[in-house]
Amino acid sequence: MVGRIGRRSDSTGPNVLLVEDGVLLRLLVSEYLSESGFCITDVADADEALDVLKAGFPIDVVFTDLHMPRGKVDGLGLARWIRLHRPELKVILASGIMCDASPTFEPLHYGPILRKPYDNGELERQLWAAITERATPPRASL
Amino acid sequence: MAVEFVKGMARLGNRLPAWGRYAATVAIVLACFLVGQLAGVSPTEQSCLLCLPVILFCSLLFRRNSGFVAAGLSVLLLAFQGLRASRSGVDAFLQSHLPPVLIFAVASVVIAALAKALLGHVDELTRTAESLRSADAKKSLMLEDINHRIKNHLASVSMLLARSSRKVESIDEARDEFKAAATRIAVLAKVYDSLQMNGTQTTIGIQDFVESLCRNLHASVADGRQIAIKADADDVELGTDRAVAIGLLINELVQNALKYAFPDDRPGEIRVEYKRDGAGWRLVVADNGVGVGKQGPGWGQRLVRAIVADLGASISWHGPPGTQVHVTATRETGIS
Repeated sequence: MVGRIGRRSDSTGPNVLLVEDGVLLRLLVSEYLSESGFCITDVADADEALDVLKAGFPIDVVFTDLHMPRGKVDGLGLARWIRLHRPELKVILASGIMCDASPTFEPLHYGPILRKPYDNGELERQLWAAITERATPPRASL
Repeated sequence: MAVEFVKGMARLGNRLPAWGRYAATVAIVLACFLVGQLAGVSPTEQSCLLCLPVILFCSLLFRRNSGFVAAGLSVLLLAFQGLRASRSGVDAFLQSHLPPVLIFAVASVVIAALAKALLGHVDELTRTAESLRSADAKKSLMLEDINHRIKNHLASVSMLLARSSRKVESIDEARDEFKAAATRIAVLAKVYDSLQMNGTQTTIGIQDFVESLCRNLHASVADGRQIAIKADADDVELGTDRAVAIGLLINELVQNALKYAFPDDRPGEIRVEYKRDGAGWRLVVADNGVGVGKQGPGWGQRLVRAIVADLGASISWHGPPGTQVHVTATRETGIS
């Protein structure tokens, strides 16, 4: 079952799953990205995001908050699930908590981390970069 | 170091039940007298070299009143020894042995009392240290929680301002957009006035929060118009995220009423209620204005619908006369 919100914008652009537990921020980011040409599906927690992904919604990139106390899994749990079950999906993470920049910091293995408060333009650039990377098939090793 | 030694001994003795501690005290005192007898020490040596250290030892090791038990028993045994040694009878005992026994009794009771007082202070210090450690851990959790919220709210503020700047085409529009953004930001700011720590979670006393929010709305939005905003909220603690959601709802609904329900500067009243209702809750924002009912598909309404969905609640509009918006949840679900 898709979560109780799972609002989807009408744009025909790349599909972004937005996972953010702050309702005001979620609505604002969703509106901004829709106006920037992305087709946004927004949900309030990682459980709902998993429902959307398991239901087979067309998604190109997942943009998720890391720290979401609500629900059974948080943003990190969602990123782990995606790596395991949908490795073709690109993930961008957002966090308000100080992030360790060392390569051993686990969330960095799943995608870039945007520090809150993040810049709209930076978010958009990261999304386009992820979509471009996804569209470019990896070169076969010789 | 000394405190650690005392604490270590106390931990050892604490493993015994009360009766075990007293029995062990009696056994140690008797053993001490037996050793004294076998070694052939004099009563003075017995009392100073063996009994006093044993009384201190029992006081620290077995706690409670073990020191007094050891002291009492030692006095009795010393008196008995003295009586036995006074071959010429009770008079000789009273003259030659009783004074040192009495001095010993006083000294041993003082030692037992001091040891008990010392242990009491050690306990108090331990409790204080534990409560400081717990307060420190609580503070760290609260700081982490507040830090996370501040960053989330700053992200919202940044996006709100960016949105306002994108939406304006005229000075009037700019004024309205930034005014609306400012009231939403004020809701986020108000949260920090009422933040409390409850266990490891931050909570908000919703009564103070709603009252303060309504005062703020009246001061900043009503702009001197003859419109009263009355708040009536139950005295309950809510999780911070839920309080923010309720605050944003109240802000949007009151702003709607201020914008549409009282045209031509007519006076009126807006009532804001937050009440427990069975296993759920009920928020009512009611006005006695012209009865405009449900508003169109503006961004404010999208925000209201999103919050209502996140809260697992439902919303309904009633009126005229006036407009009453009811947001109800039958269970405590959604944002906590």
